[in-house]
Amino acid sequence: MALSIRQATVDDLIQMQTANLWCLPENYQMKYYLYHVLSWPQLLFVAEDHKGKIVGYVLAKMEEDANVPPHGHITSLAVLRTHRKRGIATRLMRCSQLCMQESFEARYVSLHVRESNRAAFHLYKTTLGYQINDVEKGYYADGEDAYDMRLPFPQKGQSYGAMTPLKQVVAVKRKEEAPKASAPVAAGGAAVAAREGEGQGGEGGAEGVEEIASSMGELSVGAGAEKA
Amino acid sequence: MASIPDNRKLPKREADLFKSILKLYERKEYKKGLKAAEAVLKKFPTHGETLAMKGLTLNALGKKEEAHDHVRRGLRADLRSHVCWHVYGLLHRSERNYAEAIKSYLNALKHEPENLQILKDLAALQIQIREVKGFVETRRKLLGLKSNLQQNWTAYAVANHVAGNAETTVQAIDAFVKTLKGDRYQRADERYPHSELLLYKNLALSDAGMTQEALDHLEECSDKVMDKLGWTKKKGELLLALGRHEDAEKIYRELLDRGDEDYTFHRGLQCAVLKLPPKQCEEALKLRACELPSGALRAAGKLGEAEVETLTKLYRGLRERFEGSPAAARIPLTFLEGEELRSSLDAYMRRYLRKGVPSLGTDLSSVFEKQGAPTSVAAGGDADGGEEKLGRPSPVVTDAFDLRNHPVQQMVMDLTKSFVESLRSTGRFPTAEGEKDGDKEPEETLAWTLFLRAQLEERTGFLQEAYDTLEECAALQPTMLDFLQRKGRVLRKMGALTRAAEAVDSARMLDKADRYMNSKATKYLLRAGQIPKAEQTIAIFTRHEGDPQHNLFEMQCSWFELEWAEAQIRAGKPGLAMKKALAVHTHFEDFVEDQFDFHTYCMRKVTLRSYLGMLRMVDDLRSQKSYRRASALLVRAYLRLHDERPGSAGGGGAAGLPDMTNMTAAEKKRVKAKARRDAKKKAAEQELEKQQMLDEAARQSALAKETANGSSKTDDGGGGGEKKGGHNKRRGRAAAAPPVDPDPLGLTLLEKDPLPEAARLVALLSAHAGAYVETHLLAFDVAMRRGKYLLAARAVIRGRALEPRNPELLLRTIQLYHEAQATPPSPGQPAASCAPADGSSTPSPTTGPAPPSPLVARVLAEEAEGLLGTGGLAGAVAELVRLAEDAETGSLGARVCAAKALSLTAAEQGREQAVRIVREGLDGRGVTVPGCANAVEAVRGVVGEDGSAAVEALREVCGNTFPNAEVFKSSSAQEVVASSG
Ligand SMILES: CC(C)(COP(=O)(O)OP(=O)(O)OC[C@H]1O[C@@H](n2cnc3c(N)ncnc32)[C@H](O)[C@@H]1OP(=O)(O)O)[C@@H](O)C(=O)NCCC(=O)NCCS
Repeated sequence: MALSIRQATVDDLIQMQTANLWCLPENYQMKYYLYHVLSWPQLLFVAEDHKGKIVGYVLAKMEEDANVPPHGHITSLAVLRTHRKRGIATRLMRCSQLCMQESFEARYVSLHVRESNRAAFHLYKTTLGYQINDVEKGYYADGEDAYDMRLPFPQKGQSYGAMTPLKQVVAVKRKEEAPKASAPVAAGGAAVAAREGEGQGGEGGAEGVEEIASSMGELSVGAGAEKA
Repeated sequence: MASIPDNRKLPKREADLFKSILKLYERKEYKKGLKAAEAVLKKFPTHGETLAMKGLTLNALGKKEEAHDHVRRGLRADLRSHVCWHVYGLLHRSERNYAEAIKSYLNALKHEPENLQILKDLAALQIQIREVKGFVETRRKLLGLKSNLQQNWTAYAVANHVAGNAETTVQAIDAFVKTLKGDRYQRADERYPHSELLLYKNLALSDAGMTQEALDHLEECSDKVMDKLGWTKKKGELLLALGRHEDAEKIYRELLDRGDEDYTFHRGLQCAVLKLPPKQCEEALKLRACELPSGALRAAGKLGEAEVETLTKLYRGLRERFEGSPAAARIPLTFLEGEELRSSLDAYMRRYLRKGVPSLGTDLSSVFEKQGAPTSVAAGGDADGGEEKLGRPSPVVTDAFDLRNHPVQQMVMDLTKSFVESLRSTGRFPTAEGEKDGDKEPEETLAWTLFLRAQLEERTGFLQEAYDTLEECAALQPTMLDFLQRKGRVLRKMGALTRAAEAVDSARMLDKADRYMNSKATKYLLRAGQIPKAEQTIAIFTRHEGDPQHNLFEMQCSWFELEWAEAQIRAGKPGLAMKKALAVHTHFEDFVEDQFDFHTYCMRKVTLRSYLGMLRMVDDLRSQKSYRRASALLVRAYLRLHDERPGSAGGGGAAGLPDMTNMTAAEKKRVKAKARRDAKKKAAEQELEKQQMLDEAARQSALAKETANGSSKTDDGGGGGEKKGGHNKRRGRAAAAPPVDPDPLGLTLLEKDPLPEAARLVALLSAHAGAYVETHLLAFDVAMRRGKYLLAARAVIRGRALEPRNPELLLRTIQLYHEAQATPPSPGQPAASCAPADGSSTPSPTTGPAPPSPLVARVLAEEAEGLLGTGGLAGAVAELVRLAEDAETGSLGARVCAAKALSLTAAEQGREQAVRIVREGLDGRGVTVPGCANAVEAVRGVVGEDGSAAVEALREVCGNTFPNAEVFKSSSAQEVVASSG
């Protein structure tokens, strides 16, 4: 197929937004897309046709709450109707899930889906192996409930060496599996050192990661004028 | 620090109050802040910093004018206060007046040179407007002041990178890394940012041209990089840049293991196995979408037998490794030929027909590349050591006329027909001699095969056949939504816009929960001019979020806004249309503003590679398609307004109405009749507009009510979750009643002076979207109306640098010299425009500006030979006619241009020839409903009222070609000219 399934770049965001507006009622302003690609650039993937049109995308992020294990979250996924049912969404999801593990050491990935969305539910549940974690009543603007679904990732000791392709996670249909990742690299665990003081780190941690998201559209003047 | 001047000193109580104003402002408790400020001002009415802060607080409360007044008063009272200047800067910044804000900050720094907050704000503003030199300097200062902060190092590194000093970037990062204690990789929260930093340094190394160093560095840091994909991609690139093809091949094979449908990996792999030299690899890696080096080589006639064999072997292997890999199956279709191509196509098509993939037709169309003589790359063997450029793949053929004779298209069509036949008679795909019969196929396979046939018929212009085939599909699978939707598309191509909308809308009803179908139906309704119904349809998915139209605006739904605006143009409501087009421009202004917070955010996150990508993306924002579309609509609307103004002299220029001074009596009569017609139409439009105003006002008030009722509902919804959080945020804002629009009809736009507005828009386009011919066409049309011959000349020169033989550009070249030579029209001529509804193919009418000054005339004369050729004006016209009639280059559109050029330069005598040229083009390239409608209009412009018989005759021919087209049924094609694309 004349379709390229690849990691997204900033240049794809406008078209991703368009595809989202065409396919889903949950929409976001451009800044929210920017926030994703500038926070977790590894996690966004697109399917592009031969004319350069984006026909499918996955927009994903990490939940960075220090109180829970690091995990990914699928913010949005869609494929234009003309290109559905040929495995694009499956590919996009697997690519993003792999990068969540590699780049961000995610332990699992979560998402929300409408109870009535049969196509998406089948994709998550049957094709990708997500489990229902919870039901959120009236989650959507029109009052529909959402399934809160999760997929755990293989844990420790299965960290991935520099070059080892993670075939079992990525491949859709493969004749032969590549040798499993062998060399374990120092992974999460002990290394979760307590945050040191300010030192090289954050500037007083004034703006949390989510600040940008929450200041969306608002006048973001810095702290008043009293600094000296 | 110097002691506090007397006029700034406050007693303890007020000083505390003042501090609280700052705190309250930060906490966004503006009302309280205001109270505190007023308490201070009661006793010290001229305390500058308090006045300024009161102003800033007022600004936050939306009171712009009062805000400015207070801040300025504050400044006047205390000109040496950095607080006052900082506040003034913040005020400008909040209004996106970045340049003024920078000035204020620089003033603030005069009094407080080492204020970190001000310096930080300043740096962000400087990069925001790409004041790179200042940015580097500010970041240097910040680093000097506070070198223990990582973000100051990264920002300094990035600043230098942006300024083109990637080497300094590398040094800065190295220096920073030396300051680090302990192994970053051991700290979970540092692993990712540190990994990003490493890859960023690597990028800087390769940008600095240190390719080998970059590769070494990459190897060194391999175990510390979390972004495995990014690391591996970079390694492939570097290996290719160093000419290490075998190592590169290994890497790209590994990458394919991660994603065998990623064409960026296929590009790299092809470079490696074809052993392309580094320069060509660099070019190849920049190809886009599904373009491949093999395509570029083929286009240049350099894909020899050996290369084809190598590639054939490569993809055979890949198909084995990645069973069912769609890319590995398709790519060979782009370079195989003859029997091998046929058998590959055969297998490929069967596979996807069995699966029932609706996009198969579109997919196959990607291999219908332009054939014939290789497009030799002009700049081959240049200064770079004689290394040849790779070039680009041939474009895909899209014109129905060309496709009909395209060998690969014919091959696909033949296969499809044989499949249909075999499936019909035996229920199986055909079998070759000596082969066993395949399995029986389910009925769907036949339906999908017919569906493919319909798509091929549609593409080759056999619209009725396509329609009939789709009926057959529907008979086999009555509930298949895709078939019904496709019928809508065929109807649209037939010009039956109303029926097309009906078909797509009924397809929508088959899956009401799918927003995609809803969007499709909305679009078709707009194309059919059913604007209210379209609005109701799209509102099904937005009504939970407050006023649907406002919600679509909030969500930056440009596609809808553009379609809606274009529909309003066709409905004769330019004011409404222009307002919506401006809404699209607003989105782009917002995108630019959206960068702002990330200038600091990314420095902390260390996502610097993506940050650089953002800067580049924003720099090119105005070349985005939706921006260009909105601009084009606005420019054309302004030009039309200008042409319709009573004061604007002149006729239709190259459109066929030369200025009246040279006219015969009959011609003058025609022009005047046209003017009368236009006036009548205008009156009718105004009537409509009035009606619309009443309707719109009613709608607005109804909406306001609805929203007031609905907003409480949309705000609830409980439950946490990030996704939801995002939604709530938006919803809170979206559900707020839309601000009252003082000018719902865009009447103020209609009253603006159109030419300066158009000139402003076109200048932006020229600066940012110079890679598109249309930019230069618009620039020309504006320039001519303003009497700016040099700007007009520049427009054709820049346009022709892109497409030397573009007929629209040739026509404008001719118009330029024709009008520059013509005597200026006498003042006071009646307006007589004949710009068609979309104006796309009609150069500007003569506006009657002064003739070119001697200097300008000289410049034009100097350029004449380059632009017109050696034959002068007449020679250029003859050349355009030749191109238009040529079998290779001709098209209906080119013929229309030639006709206009003839009637412009040869008035009476040229007219007959002009009509003939158009008439003889009605069965060749470019024959579509809009193309024909445009031709009819052009001929109407050429022959005028007296020649209505010729127009009628032409319209009849078009009506026979497109019997279902609405546009040829009415007596005037004008209204629907721009109906579809
Ligand atoms: C959900 C969606 C993304 C799936 O995209 P897709 O590219 O068609 O999905 P895939 O081709 O990868 O299909 C994945 C699986 O789902 C199944 N599936 C797809 N569409 C289905 C449908 N309408 N009904 C039942 N199953 C369906 C496929 O058969 C496949 O199953 P398999 O792995 O058992 O063979 C797409 O339908 C879509 O964009 N819908 C609108 C937007 C949306 O709902 N997004 C999800 C929001 S949470």
